Parts: sequence; structure tokens; C-alpha cells
Amino acid sequence: MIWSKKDILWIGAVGGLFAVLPLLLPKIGSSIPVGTEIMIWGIFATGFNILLGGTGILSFGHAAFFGLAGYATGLLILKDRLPLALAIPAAVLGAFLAAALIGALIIRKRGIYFAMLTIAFGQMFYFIASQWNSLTGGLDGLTGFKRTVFLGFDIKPEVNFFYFVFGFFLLTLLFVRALLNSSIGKTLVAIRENVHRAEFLGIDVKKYQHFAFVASATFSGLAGALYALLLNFAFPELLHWKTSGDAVLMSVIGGMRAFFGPLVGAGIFVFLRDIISTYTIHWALPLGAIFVVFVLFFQKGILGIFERGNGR
Amino acid sequence: MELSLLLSQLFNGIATGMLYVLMAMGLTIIMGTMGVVNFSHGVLFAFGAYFAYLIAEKAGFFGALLMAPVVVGMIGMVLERGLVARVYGKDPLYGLLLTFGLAMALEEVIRIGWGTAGLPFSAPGFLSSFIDLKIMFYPAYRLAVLGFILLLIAALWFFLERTTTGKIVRAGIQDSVMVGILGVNTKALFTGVFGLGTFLAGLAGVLAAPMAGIMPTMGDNVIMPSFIVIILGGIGSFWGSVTGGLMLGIIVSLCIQFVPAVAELSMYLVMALVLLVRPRGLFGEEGLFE
Amino acid sequence: MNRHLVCNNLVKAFGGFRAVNDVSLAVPKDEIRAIIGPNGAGKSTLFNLLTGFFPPTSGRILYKDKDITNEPAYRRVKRGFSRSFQTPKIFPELSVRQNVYLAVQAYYSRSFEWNIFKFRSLDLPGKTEDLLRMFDLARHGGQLAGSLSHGDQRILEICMVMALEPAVLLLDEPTSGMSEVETNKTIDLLMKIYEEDPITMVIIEHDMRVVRRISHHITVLHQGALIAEGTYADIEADDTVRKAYFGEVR
Repeated sequence: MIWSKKDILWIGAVGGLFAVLPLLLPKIGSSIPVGTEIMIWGIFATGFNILLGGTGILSFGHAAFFGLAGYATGLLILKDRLPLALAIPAAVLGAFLAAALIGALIIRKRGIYFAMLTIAFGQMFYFIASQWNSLTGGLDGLTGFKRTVFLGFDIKPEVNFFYFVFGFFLLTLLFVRALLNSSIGKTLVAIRENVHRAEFLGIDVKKYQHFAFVASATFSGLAGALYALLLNFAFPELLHWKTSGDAVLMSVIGGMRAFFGPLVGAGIFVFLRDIISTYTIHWALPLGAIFVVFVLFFQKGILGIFERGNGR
Repeated sequence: MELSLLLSQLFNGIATGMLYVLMAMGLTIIMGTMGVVNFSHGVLFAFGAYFAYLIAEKAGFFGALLMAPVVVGMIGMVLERGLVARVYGKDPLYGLLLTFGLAMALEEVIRIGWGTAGLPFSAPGFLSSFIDLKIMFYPAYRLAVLGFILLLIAALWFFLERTTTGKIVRAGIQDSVMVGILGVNTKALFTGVFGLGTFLAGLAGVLAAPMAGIMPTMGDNVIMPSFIVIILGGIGSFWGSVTGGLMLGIIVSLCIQFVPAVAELSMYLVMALVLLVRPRGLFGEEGLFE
Repeated sequence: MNRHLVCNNLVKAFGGFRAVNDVSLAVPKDEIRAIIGPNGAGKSTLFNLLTGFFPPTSGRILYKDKDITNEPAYRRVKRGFSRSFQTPKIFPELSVRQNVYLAVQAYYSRSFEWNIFKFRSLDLPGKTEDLLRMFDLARHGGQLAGSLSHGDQRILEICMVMALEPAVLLLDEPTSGMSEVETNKTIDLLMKIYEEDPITMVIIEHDMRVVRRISHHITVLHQGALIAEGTYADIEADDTVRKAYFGEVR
């Protein structure tokens, strides 16, 4: 089995929890789209963590693929050009191809240089989106598209869209878990733990790093497509390196070494933002402060606190 | 293309470039000495401007120019002792993450303290006019900034080349471990370097305030160009920062003149090109961070 | 095969400094070759060239008569090279068992990398246990590799390296930092490995007792150049060698 019994149990439990969220959320003063958003960021962060926690590579440019797929989705269903069932896969494919190309170019650079290159490419996308007014609507963003029907299933209502995203959410959890369990996932761990020893075990390190980059970016794309459909809106900030930073933040706070860490981080991020913003608009301060604390003292994140031995 | 227009745009490029040089200088000594990628440099630049706004009410522009950077430098040293020092020796990505989080939190502090709207800040009276340079009219303030930063660069050069402390700093940039073995108090050195670097960022913020206005996001707009400058010039290199800053300032200004939509994009293209073709930049050392 | 691993006129220059200066050697199959020389002689640099850690400035490297000069390290490993480092390179934050498992997986990856389902049929965990027992590491199986003693980390590294079933084993100062007891244990292990199934070994060593005990043939480097070659007796009596280590012969 590519999933252990424990995997199925946990994913089942998490799935079960999210399945009843639309009933719980209104009761605690929140709303269904918040739950949808948590799942979408969960997809983004869990996929992203294949690269960060799984392979040990930091990218500040994944928002480029998130936003690219978001814009692509919007553009493809604008004026009913394409049905949603084709637009979403096309958008995700777009993110995949962009990542394959960019990844091939930059993966040979290490550490800080790689991180800065991801920022550079992300910002290029950002500026293209904000300047190309005729195509993307520029700084005002892309409007005029609306989610309607997916293979006959009406996803306009919030609840329906929630369960639509829920399907992708479950698939993501299952797929990423299987990947990390597989020999590929284990090879990525070897690369993360000691890249030279990995090389000297006969592992083509660059090839696997590229794979991790592309795989994580594809999930960023999926999340981006769904996000654009959640808001019926796409805007340049989706591509900005700060949005990439949000994914990093979620993975670090939730715990990059734990499978559900990024999801926990996503939940915390969305809740903090939504709850704190009812008291003050300055939610970035406690969030940034919490992030700093985690980077310094709890490098294994929240879920790492339950592991034996913490910190470094 | 009118010569005066081209020239004034060129001068604008040099003026912006000079600000980039100050920022890059601070960033590069921090990166070179402690291996920390200081993402909070932008927000400290902004703090320089905001403190200048506060101080100028009582002490005027020149009072602000004198004191605001010092305050920023001191804040920098506190941040270094309390937070940044904890990530020395670890994977450089921790420093990046830490300062990223700091930048996020500190930018919000600015919004809490001074609101989200921009603040006005004017240059000292005698500099708010235009100077007749025969071929063009150019704002006196920008010329003054240009001159001032040139003097500052000379002073920094003198400090680094001719004073004992400066030489220690340079040695630290080359090899901070070795410097410690030779008996230098690295703790003090690192704090001092971080303080100097952030002082320069605050100073750049004060100087930039009359030119670009004061806004909470002003740091965001300079942090990336500053990184691009040190990548272009070479991490840890004095002349790299100077050359890189000037080059980038001019490239961007000319782009704004001829192909405005591409101006910001061109910066990132430059960065990507350098990183892919010659990661050490123009004057940097091979193998750093590779 | 007399020329199993060969290098011709290898040069590695860093700027103006030649760390390896025109070194040529030929190691026959299944020979245990020791590379010795005073500090800074270029031994580790030579290793890095042979194993593909970085490319030479000039010269050629041949393995079984095939030119591998510009091949990246991982490809040489797939050909049958295996290497240990001066400081054992293992996965310190993983358990001993996980460390060996990754080596075993890497070995089988050579045949079918992306067929992730095939791995299930191979019983990699079983093979991991076999190796752990073979190297007397089973009792440390669940321990974090980084918490092992230096000597045991070296044994773990050798275990991982042997999991790749190499044809050429390159060991960079395998006994550095070890007590006499640990040194003997390590050398016993290496000789046992060789006795069970001879392979070509190239060992950088400082400890002359080890060199005398294990090596068939010795190459002496000094300041990047090859200054002598021969058996232990040859080298012991060689004045050039003595001069290199101790300065002028009185």
C-alpha cells in the first residue's frame, strides 16, 4: 500500500473534520468561504512543503505559479471561452510548464542565490500582470469572470464550491502523502539531509530538486486556480513574493517536518487574519512576531512541539 | 529626444542610484560579515524617514538628518543582539526567514504608529528650488543629495581603508571566523556592523523622504532594488555596491523614460541575468554562498 | 585488469595555485592503494577529482578504459565508485536504520528509478537489517546517526558505502580522529570486506601503521606532485619521501 493505515486514518480524520466544517463555521461566527480558503491555502502550503520541508529548498517565488494559474483560469472562462472542466486543468498545466522551464534554468543555483532567483521570476510575473492592462486588467485586477458549472455540477453557491474544493483538497493530501512515502520522497529527504552524501549515493540531485520544484509549483497552480474561482477575481498581489512568503510562513509555523504542518499553518494564518482583523487591521504584526518566534525557537513548528526533541 | 530631458532623467537615475548605493552598502557589509540576508533593511529605511518626520518638527531637516539614522542604527543593534545573533552559524536561510518576519511585523508597527496614508516631508527651504545648470534645470535638493552621498562614500572608504576599526570590519567581511581567532571581539564587531548597516539604511530613508514622500510601503519599493544592486555588484564588495547602485539607478531611470512599462521588469531581468551568468556579480568573490 | 582506475596528467589549479600538479597513476583491479603525503600535498583534492566532486583544470581520468573525466559524481557512483569523506558524511538527523535504508534504496534505484511500485517487491527493509547486522550496527538501529561516536559514524558510513556494492572504494582518511582501538576495528572491517570479496580500494592515510598493514602499493604526493611510488619497504627507504616529510635529510 502506498499509504499506511495510519496515513488513511489521519487523512480520514482531517477529511471528516473538514467535511462538517460548513455546519460548524457559521455557528462560531465565521463563514463557509473561510473554510474553503483554508483548504485552498492548505493545498498551496502542503504542495509547497514538498520543496521546503521535504527537500530543504526555500523558494520565495511560488506565488508566481499560484497567480499564473489564477489569471489563466479567469482568462479562460471569461466570456465563456472554455468550460470550467477544461479551464482548470489547462491553468494547472500552465503552472506546471512554467515551473518546468523556470526550474530547469535556476535549479543549478544553491541556497540564497536560488531563493533570490525565485523572487526575481516571481516579480517579473507580478509586473507583467500589473502592467499588461489590456490582458490582465493591470493593477485593478482581472474581473468579469464567474465560477458557474463544473461538469454539470453547479458550484456557484458557497456550500457547493466548498465541497468542490474539498475534493481537490482530499486528492492533494492523498497524493502528496503517497509521494512522500515513496522512494522519490525518501530520495528528497536524503538530498535535504546531506546533499553531498546523496550525490555520492548515486542520486542525480539536480533532477530530483527540479522534480520537487515542479511538483510543488503544480499544487501552487491548482490552489491558485481555485482561489481565483473563490473570489471570482484575480489580481497582481497573488503573484507577489509576499504571497510566496505566506506559504513559507504557513509551513514554518505549522511545522515543515510534519505532513499536516502546512495545513495547520494555513488554518492558523487564515484564522488569525480573520479573527484579529475584527479587532484591528494590523494582524500582520502578531503574525510576523509569531513567525519570528517560530523561526528562532520552534524550527519544527507547532506540530514539531509534539515530537520528541525540538528546536535544532 | 531633448537633451535636457535625457540629462535630467540621467541625473534622476544617478540620484536614485546613490540611494541604492547607501542601502546596498549597508546590506553588503551585513551579508558579507555575518552571512545574514537582511530583509528588514527596507523597513528600517522607512523608519529612517518616519523618525525624520518626527524629529524635523522640533529640530528641522538637519536635526533629523543627524539624529534619525542614529536612532535607526540603535534599533538595528538591539534587533541584532536580541534576535539576529541567534541565527549566526546556521543555514543562511534562517536569517532570511527571520528578517522576513521582522520586516512584516515592523511594517505593521509603522502603520500602527503613523497610519496608512502618506506623510508630507519637504526639503530644507534653501534647497527646494531648481538650479540652472545651463543645459537643464535640476532640483537643488537632488544635487545636494548626490553630493552628500558622494562625500559619505568617500568617508566610508576612508573609514574602511585607513582606520583600524575599518580594517577590522573589512577583515571580518573576508573571514569573520579568522578575525575572531585573531582576537577580535566578534560579538561587538557583528553588532557594530549591523548597527552601521542599518544606520545607512535609515540615512537613505531620511534623504529619500523629500524626494519620494513618506509611506509605510516605501521600504518594499527599495528592498528588492537594493538586493539587486549587491547581486549585480557582488556581495561584500565596496565598489561593487557603488557601481551596481549607479548602474541600476541609471538603467531603471532610462527605462522609465523610454519604456516605462518595462522599468520594474528590467530590474528583475538584470538580477536574473547576473545570477544565472555570473552569480558573484561584477566585483564579488567566487564561491560565496554557492 | 591492470588499469582499473587511471588518471593521466591531472592538474587542478585554484587561481595560480596548483593543488594537484600533473599527477598520473594507474591502479590495477582489486589492489589496495594508499595515497600518502604531508599536509597540503593535494591528496584530498586528487580524491575530489577522481570522484567527480569538481572537474580538473586539465588531464584525464579513466575507469575501465572509459573516459570519465567530466562525468558528474553521481554518475561515477552509478558506475561503481563509492566514497567516504574525512569527516563521515551521513544523515545525522536520521536514524542509523534510515541512513542504511537510503543507501540500499539508492543502490536499487540504479535499475528502475521511477518505478516506485517495484521497490515494494524488493524488501528493502529486510536488506537494510541484513546490512546493519553485517556491520554490527543493529543495536544502534533506532538511534540518531548524529549521536553515534565518531568511530561508529565511520562504520556507518562504510556500511552505507558498501551497500552500493562498489567496484572501487575511495576512503579519505578513514581512521582520522580515531583511537587505536577504533582504528584497529575500522581496519579489521575493511580487511574483512576485502577478504570476502576483493574490490579496488584507494585510501588516503596518515597513520603509517595502517598503511603498512593494509596497502598493497603506495603513492606519495608532495605539494601536488607525485614524488614516489612503491611498496611500504620502498617508500620507507626512499630519501625523497623522507625529505618531503622531515625536510632535508641529515
